[in-house]
Amino acid sequence: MDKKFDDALRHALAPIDEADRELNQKILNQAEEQSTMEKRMKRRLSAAAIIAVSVLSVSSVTVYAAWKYLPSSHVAENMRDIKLAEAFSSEQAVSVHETQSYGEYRVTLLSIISGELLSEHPRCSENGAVIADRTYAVIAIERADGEPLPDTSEEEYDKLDFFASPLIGEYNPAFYNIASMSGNYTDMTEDGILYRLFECDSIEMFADHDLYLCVSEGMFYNTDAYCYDELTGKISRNEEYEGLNALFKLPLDISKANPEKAAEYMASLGLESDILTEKLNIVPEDSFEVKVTEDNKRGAEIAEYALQFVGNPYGWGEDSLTEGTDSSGFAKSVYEYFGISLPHNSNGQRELGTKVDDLENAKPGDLIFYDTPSHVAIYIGEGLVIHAMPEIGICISEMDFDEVSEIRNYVTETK
Amino acid sequence: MTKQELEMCIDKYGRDIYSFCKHLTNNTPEADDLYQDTFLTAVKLKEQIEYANNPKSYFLSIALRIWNNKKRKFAWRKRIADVQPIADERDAYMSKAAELSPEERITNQEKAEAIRTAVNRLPEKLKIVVLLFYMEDLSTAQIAETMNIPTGTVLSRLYQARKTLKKDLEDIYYG
Repeated sequence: MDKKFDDALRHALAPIDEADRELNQKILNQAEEQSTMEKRMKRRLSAAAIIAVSVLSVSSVTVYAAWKYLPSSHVAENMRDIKLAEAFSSEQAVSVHETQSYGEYRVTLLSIISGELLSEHPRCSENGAVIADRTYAVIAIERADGEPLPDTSEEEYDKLDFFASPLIGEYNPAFYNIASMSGNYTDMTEDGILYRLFECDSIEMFADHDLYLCVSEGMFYNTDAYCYDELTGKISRNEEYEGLNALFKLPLDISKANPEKAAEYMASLGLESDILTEKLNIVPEDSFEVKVTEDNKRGAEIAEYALQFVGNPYGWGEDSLTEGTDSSGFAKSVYEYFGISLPHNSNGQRELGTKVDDLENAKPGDLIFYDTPSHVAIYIGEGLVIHAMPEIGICISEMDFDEVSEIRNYVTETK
Repeated sequence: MTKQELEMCIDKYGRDIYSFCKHLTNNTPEADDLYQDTFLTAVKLKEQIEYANNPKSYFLSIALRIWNNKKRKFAWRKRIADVQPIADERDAYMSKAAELSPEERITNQEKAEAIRTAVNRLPEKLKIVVLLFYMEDLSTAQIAETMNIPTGTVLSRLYQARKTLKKDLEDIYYG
């Protein structure tokens, strides 16, 4: 035997040709059609196959085949960001391809990239400066039962809400998430798989912390789906939660950590505000009642109506007056009762109504806005507000528990 | 075979099977067809699958069976004749390589191309044995099983193939 010759043959004939993604996808789809036709003939698997499958799917975390999903660069390209597509194809991008199945969905973290000026469409801060340092990630969401997810152009899509966000160990995820880190996202659907490209301020500087990526249902961070341990700063899945609550650990280069910059950044978010806790959740004096004036009957009714919900729970991203609501959800639901529709976010609420120029001129029913963090309360008179406060619930507080940034009126009759 | 198993098999053996299809058919659309039919047939034949054995040689034997069936059909044979084979480029490489004087260095890449071209020129019976042995890393016993021929025949075909290849590649490889 000529070993050199054999080796040359092996080398030249190495199996390096791969079927393209569409072909593999087509086979899966056709096999599925085939199998639905032959369901009656279905037989149990042999033991060896079961073992082979279960080795691959230890717990519900699986590393899925790369070909099954669109490459992240392709997703970015579809979103008309060629520069970002190139970045995703470069070595700077970390390809993860980890899949988790919880509730009705299967979520795959495809890849993640952090760096400066990676996108064609850079984000600008409020003062117009380009925010250079950003993190981008692509995830794929599909239904666990194999049913296709609706196309983003379909009405059904609007009924779906997924919240995907990086989370940082030692920082309460209820406050520090994609929403506070100037994030946004774009969705697209292909072959019944929803791809989400999202971005936020770079998390690379936190590389010395545990970094996570959460994916759950709903518009906002879901406090029921995850647990945050205040003592250890660890974030984990709530095992009892029955819906989707995927949580990936993000691989990041620890040498990129920059504790000073990170601390500065967190302070700039202004989430650690100077709330005067002693002014929160107070009991008004017995003599307190909402003043009804001729020109503000409606406002007084609103304040009166709101007061019956004191003591009900707080719920991030929710708007139920009895089961849990956040501050903007509370304002929205109370106003809804009076036929006034407000969006479920305090910034949107600020765009409606008329501005009240002075604290002195606030009337019951007006909305009082706070900036740090973004918060909204309903004025009830005599310097008091009613609002939904995290960790407390719906309560009455003194209006100046925090610096008031704006007062707006939505009801005054213009007679 | 469930969807998950199929996914697993494509994931694990897809590259091996596809490479085999590509070299066997020497034509991308045909390779795609053959590859697809192989997996779909495997799904259909689930009743007879012996998973415990080597699934790869099982898929390969399906691919071979489909290929042989197809070749028997005249119309299909005509289709092969009409399509541009992938080897065109490789042939060009080959003749270019043949023109090179022995002094000129031939890169490994070019050597590999020359080998692939030479393998492609083998009579199909020999070519299949070579692909299964060198590309798919099957033992001669497994090849015998996959092709449904005696092991002795495998050995003799492998011997003939090596001899032909060496002769064909003499100039390039040993030159």
